[in-house]
Amino acid sequence: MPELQQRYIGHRERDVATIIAAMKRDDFELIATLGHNMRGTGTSYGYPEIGAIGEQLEAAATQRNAVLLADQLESLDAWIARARAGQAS
Amino acid sequence: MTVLVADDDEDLRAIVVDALRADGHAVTEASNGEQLLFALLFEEGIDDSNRRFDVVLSDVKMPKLSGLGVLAALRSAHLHCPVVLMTVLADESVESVGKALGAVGVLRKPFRVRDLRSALANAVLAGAQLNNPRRLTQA
Repeated sequence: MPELQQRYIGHRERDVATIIAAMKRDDFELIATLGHNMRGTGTSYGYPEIGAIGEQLEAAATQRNAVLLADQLESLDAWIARARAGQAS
Repeated sequence: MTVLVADDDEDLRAIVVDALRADGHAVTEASNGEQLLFALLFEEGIDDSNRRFDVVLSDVKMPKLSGLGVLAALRSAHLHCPVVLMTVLADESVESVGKALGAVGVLRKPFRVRDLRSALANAVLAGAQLNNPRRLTQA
């Protein structure tokens, strides 16, 4: 499980880059999918906070709300930093 | 037990597969509905010497073909297999439509390993009520 969790955190880092690129080309559908997936997996990996961030990301992308998306991207980035320090939930 | 797991999210597949293999199950993966249907229709084979899937765990929202689409295709082909849908969708219609199409259970994401084990056990019991519980069969 620790190995899976490390990989999971790495995938969220990848998501940050993907979301930034998607925002530049207004690909809200891709962002909604990424948020949807985080929503479905966070708790399973022991990270309910990621589930909440994913839910907000999906909602923001569905609304095409760039401000809310930026907020959630910041939350995701902060979560990754805490996860790397072993302090994420 | 032999389990076929279908989800386009590799993180979801990874944790499900890891948990199932840790419990001693043989697991095959599919990353979209089309792959899942292909595995069920063609890799299962038509005689007992071929590999069999005791239970299918399938996401609902997948590229190419949804979990509901797979259920509909199995129904059209008169094939029976215990399928448990996995979904984040809160819409109750997913559950009712899924069950109408033959799903034996719905596992709400996010879930914990104990929920997965419980869903699998329930699927096996439900599968026992199908015509032939341990493999796909022509009705």
